[in-house]
Amino acid sequence: MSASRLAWPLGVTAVMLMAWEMAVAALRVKTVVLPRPSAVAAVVLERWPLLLEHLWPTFYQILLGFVLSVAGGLVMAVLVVYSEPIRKGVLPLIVTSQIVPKVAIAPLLVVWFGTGDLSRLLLAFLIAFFPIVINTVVGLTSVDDDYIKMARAFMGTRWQIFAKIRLPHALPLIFGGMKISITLAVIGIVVAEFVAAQRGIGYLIVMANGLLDTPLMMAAIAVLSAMGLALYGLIVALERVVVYWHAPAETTAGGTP
Amino acid sequence: MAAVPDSVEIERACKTYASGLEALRDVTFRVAPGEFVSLLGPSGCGKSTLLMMIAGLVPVSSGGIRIDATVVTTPRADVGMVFQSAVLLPWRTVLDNVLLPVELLRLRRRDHEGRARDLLAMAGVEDFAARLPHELSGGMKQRVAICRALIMQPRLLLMDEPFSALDALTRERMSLELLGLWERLRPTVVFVTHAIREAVFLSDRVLVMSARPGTIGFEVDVKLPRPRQLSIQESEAFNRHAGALRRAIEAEEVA
Amino acid sequence: MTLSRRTFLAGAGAALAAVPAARAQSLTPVRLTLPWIPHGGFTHHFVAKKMGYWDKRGLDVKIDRGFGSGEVCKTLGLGQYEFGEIDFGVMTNCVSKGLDLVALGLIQPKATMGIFSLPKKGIRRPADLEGRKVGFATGSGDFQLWPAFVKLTGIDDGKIQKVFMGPEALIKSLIEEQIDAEGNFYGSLAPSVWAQGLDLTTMLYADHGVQIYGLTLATRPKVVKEQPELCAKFVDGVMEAMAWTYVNPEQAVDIHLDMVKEFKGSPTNRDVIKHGQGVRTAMALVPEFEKQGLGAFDPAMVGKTRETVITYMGAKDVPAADQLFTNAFAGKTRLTAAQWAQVRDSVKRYIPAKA
Repeated sequence: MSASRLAWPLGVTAVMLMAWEMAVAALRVKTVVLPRPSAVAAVVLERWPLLLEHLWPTFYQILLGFVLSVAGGLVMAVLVVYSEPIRKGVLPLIVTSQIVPKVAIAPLLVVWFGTGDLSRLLLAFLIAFFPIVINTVVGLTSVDDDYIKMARAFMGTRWQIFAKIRLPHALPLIFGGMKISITLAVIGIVVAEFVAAQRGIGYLIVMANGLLDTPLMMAAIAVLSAMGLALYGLIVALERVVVYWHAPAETTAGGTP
Repeated sequence: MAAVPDSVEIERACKTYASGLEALRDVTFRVAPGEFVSLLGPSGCGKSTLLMMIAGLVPVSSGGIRIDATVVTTPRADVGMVFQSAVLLPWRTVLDNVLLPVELLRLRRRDHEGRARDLLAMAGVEDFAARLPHELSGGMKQRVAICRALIMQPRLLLMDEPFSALDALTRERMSLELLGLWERLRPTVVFVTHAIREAVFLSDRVLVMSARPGTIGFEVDVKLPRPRQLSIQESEAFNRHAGALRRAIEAEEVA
Repeated sequence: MTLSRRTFLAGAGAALAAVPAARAQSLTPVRLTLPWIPHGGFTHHFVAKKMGYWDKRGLDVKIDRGFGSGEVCKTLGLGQYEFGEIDFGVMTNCVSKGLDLVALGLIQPKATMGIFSLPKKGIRRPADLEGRKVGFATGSGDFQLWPAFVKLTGIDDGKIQKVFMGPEALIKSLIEEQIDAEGNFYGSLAPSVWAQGLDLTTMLYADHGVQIYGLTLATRPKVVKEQPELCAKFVDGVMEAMAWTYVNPEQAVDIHLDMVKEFKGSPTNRDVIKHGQGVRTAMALVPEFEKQGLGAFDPAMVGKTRETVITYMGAKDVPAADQLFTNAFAGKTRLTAAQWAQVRDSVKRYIPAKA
């Protein structure tokens, strides 16, 4: 990500923030409805220990939920590809389950598993593992037949074909799934915190909202967004390292000399 | 020094697909050890299918295929194969692609790395050993594929229209380089092509295959001296062979 | 449940009489759940914790937030918590659905459900609601009892436009005048509105004939039966804290903010907590507290609560009123007449004016 590419979105954001600041002042919008960005920034600076204290459990859970989703998703994908009973029997159930809005079952999870970490991790897992499964399955099965033929011609066994060809071939798609998944994990954990937590950024947002402390609420949202971006960026950076052979997007997109 | 090359015997090989399509009927021919034989024919005459059957990748419906007097049922370690497109693994360097057969046979990489580099040098792409396939041109990729096919010093080399995806000039040059590589190692070669002059240039014998159901219709012994230069294509003997093959093919088409 | 609730509630009372005075022991861990976020109405719990009213009785209480009385009934009924503070009406409804709960100490006798509006809307009497737009939180207790309010005030429900939204949106909706009035809880709504510098017109259901108790401490009957000393200690701690809070309101607010760091910060927040606490205190000015001590239940009122729940919440198979509560633990803490007078004076602004 070069400096010049970064400059554009940063520039637009700065303009939007200034417009927001001026609009709130000019239209005399009540703080409880929409505070000025400067007020939000002030809260972030003044109350960062509190924000950090709540950010940590959320961050930790998102990471854990994500890792579990990836691990579980990969295992499920391999089972789907190599086991017919699972592919025919279990996969349709998983697909159907994705239609159920997870936030609707969050209270049920609380009743069954309590308001501790487990309910939230479960919720995040249920939301975030599906893109991994789908993308991995497609990645593993979409290998060009020529590669399989070539590997077999050179004495490759089924396992070798899986490990040396299908898996690397699937990596770009797996990372695509991971990028979606981390976003969903963030959403999942935070939403779960709205309805089933005693701490965390989602919890702080609800608490602030309950007292109509909108600046604190927006400060929490800002901090949460920054964290979400950082996590996403982490995956992108990891992808650059692991999926090194994909021609970079810049050269295929058309046009920079 | 390569081991004694394989002989190939094909006896009344037939292939009918589950859909009922009869691809090959009663294909019978032999290839002597160390011989360079081309299968020449138009697209769809089943010559690729036949090659796949010799490679052990596709089963025969009836009849027998023997390599070195052993019936072919699965792929063999002493057979190397080159396909129409290079089929290099995009995430492996050129060198690692050449060494893939070594890995699949669970042998030690470093025992074969020297030979891999030698092959790449012979093919003129040694400078690209550490590059990834997407950095290479089509012709270069195919050269790497040929090196890969040769890494385990195969006694039989099967080539399925390896140059058909390349432009005419590159094609000519590759033919020459292939002969150069072949002269050093001298495996038995079965080469599938639809280009008459290419077949004549490369081979000791050219077998003409008729269209579906494929069968061997005509055979030409290419009595040209080796080693061959590109200029041999202007000789009278060359053109006589080419002409005979063309007339045979045209006769098949009319029939 | 095989044993009748009546039997072991009586047994608990007897066991209590036989319990020796508490000795200093290592602290027993206890889990308490509030029904909602820890706003000003729950100051007494934080006072109890900070002032050591539980510690000195050997209890180490952990206070968790809740997600609505309905959810708390479930988690409490399943044993995830030893004690909870919940709405009495909701508790009764949940008991009828098979959750085993019993009330053991009344916290806020007067229910604070009602209809609220900004004064400028001119809605002073129930009849003024006809032709207006009223907001409710989906699935809220105040909406469940709206039919009771309608019946007892004789207004025409058909002439009132109702809109539904999530609870978080209600307060803002009212302030932004997207609705004319809303159903809510006085203790949750008023403090926030006042802290914004606005005033509120209040029509409490309880002031218009709806008979229902407000918030109570609750637990499972099993805990009452098997651990009566625990119940006694816990309730005593709460009641002692409530008394202290009534008499020392400002310091109680300080303690609350100290213990709930998320609410520290702006002076507005402090006001919200202070008002919330004030409302809660004002709602406790009832005869049973003055005559029988803090936390005591009036059996007749429990009976009326039960009937309201059956009639308006569609509850079936509700146990008899005397199985829903126990007075074995409440009533030990009292204020003097002078103290009550002082308290009444300090919270008079929080007592809603009747139209």
